Amino acid sequence: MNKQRTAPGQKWGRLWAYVILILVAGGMVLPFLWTVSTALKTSGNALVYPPQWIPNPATLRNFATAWHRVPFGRFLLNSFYTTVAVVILQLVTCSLSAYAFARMKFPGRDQLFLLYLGTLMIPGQVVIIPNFILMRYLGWLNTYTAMILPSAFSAFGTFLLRQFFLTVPYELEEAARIDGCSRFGLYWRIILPLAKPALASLAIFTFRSQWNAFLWPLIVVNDTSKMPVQVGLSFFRGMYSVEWEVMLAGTLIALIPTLVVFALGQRFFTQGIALSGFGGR
Amino acid sequence: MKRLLHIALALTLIFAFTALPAAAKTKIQVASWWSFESGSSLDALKNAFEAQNPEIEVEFVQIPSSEYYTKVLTMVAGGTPPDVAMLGMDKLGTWVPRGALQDLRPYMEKYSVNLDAFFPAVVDAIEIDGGIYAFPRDATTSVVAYNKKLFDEAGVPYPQPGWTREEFLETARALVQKDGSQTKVYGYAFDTFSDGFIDWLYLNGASVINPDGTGSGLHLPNAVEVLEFLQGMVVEGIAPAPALTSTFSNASGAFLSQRTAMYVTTVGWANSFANAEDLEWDVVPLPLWDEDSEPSTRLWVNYWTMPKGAKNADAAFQFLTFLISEEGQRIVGETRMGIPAIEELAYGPAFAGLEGKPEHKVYFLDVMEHAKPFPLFVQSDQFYAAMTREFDTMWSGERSVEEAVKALDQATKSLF
Repeated sequence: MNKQRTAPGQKWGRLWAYVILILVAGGMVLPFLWTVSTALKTSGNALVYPPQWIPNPATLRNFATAWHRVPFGRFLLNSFYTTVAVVILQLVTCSLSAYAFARMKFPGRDQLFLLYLGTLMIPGQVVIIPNFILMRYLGWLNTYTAMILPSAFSAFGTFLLRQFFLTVPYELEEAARIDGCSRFGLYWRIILPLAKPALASLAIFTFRSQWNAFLWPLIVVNDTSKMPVQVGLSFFRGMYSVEWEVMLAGTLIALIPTLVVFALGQRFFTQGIALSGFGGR
Repeated sequence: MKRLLHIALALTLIFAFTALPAAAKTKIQVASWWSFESGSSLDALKNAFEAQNPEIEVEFVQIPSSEYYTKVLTMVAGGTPPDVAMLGMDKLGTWVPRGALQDLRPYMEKYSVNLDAFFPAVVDAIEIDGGIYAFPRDATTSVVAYNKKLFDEAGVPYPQPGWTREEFLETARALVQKDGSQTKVYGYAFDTFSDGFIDWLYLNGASVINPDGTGSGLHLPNAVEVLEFLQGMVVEGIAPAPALTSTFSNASGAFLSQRTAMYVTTVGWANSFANAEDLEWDVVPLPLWDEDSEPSTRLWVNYWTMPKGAKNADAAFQFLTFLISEEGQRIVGETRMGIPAIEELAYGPAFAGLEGKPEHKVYFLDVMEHAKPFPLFVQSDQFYAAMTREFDTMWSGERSVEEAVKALDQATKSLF
């Protein structure tokens, strides 16, 4: 068989592409490696100059310090509880609203959708105080509800799922209707099972952003026993100084659940980026 | 049937009485940035206060220090302020004019509370616009921390009180250790935020704002002289450039990792040095600017305040009164984060008498009589932001001091 030969120009082009990609990948991995390295250093060695990549002496003490100095287990549990609750709620609310926006016909549907999408443009900081006051009126300050409910709805999630639902052929729905399927049945039996990849990527996106949520939980929760792990981590950061080795050891512990979720759903995650065009959101 | 009814009635009465709630306690919310590690002192404060005031319950809201003001301001803006809040000195100048804090003077009169036992400088630092909006948690002055080992290695004698800026400069120069073109040890390191050089301004009779408080004071001759002195040290290689200092997190990090032999320290930083086992160090008062100039140091006070709108103002004030009592000040003093505001206590077991490094802690107290409060002004946040921007390239000598201070004066004119 005659193997097609690559033109020399193409070869160089590919080589450069690899060099650039390796450099970019290195740039992405370096902070993570630095985190691991610093987490293993002793307190005097975290900030030495020139920087030390291989910790000497290496210690695991920072992990124990991070775990014991603050109620780390409790923080993780709180994060897990609020994150799982938000993921489930968002899957329900976003898929229902996305179904309505994608498959139902009613007056003002597209305008309403645009309006809802427009909320993505409002920076989160702007609505913090109004939301805080709302929580106060509802008597939800310092409760898990305040951390969960405001995040239960997402314009981004609705958008993501709507785009996917639009691609599902109408014939499937029509066939089901002829067989006597109800509106909810169409959503539940036809659309949702087909939308598993989209639902999985929304779940991963939501898990990641909720797990990393910081400002809102910080504002609404007062009890340390209700704080999520990201707020808890900031206890290692002083007003003018940071105990880097302990902070980064804590960060690594807090990173594990995200890594697990990402590993399990990596396939869907990349699909999700392709689906939404919202890589890095 | 009637008998049954009587029994039921009697039982109901018994239950009603046994179920009567004890007199409800007044709960006060106290916001603080102290972490869990120092949480034990918060516990001690709570326990001691509640033992004396069984009708009041203290509930601490522990907020990570890096996010403290964001959270407290949101609580105030959202109408749920804490009853008592810890506050750094710099915020008093901006929070009082904006009406975020309650004037404590009426309560002081009502409950006959006075501040006679305090360091006079501390009392000066809590009065603003004729009101008292804060009680002191603790205070700190600044002194020079020096690394004894690095002094010994360089064969330089330890500095003594009464030294001058000239001697400081010679000492710092002699302490620099080089390894080829790389500097291993610097003579002195300072931060470029206002805390890092305000002591030097005070030593030469200058400040960040002008004497009338109507604009920047950094373009005035005395201030320019100070900035040129500090810039000169960076240019000569005696002090690290700000970019390098930031690799240590800040200048105190350079001292902690033994990369600088001297650092102007407050009590809080000194506490972090005291925990480093391999650091041999002591303190000495700041040098005099010139032989005939007055000694000086910056006074920083951390406060306990009552935000406006506090729901249980009277109970909160009772707690504030406890916090400035001997017992409250002793408990806080033992955290070693600052000097108790009560003079007798500071010279006694709650500060000077505490064990551990540095040997000459008492210098922190001796300089108190010359201490000048950190400048408080309502525009400080924007002013310091502009200062950081305009001075960025000045420290390393890329921009002249004259040019930088002029630019700062222009940039901040509209603020005042």
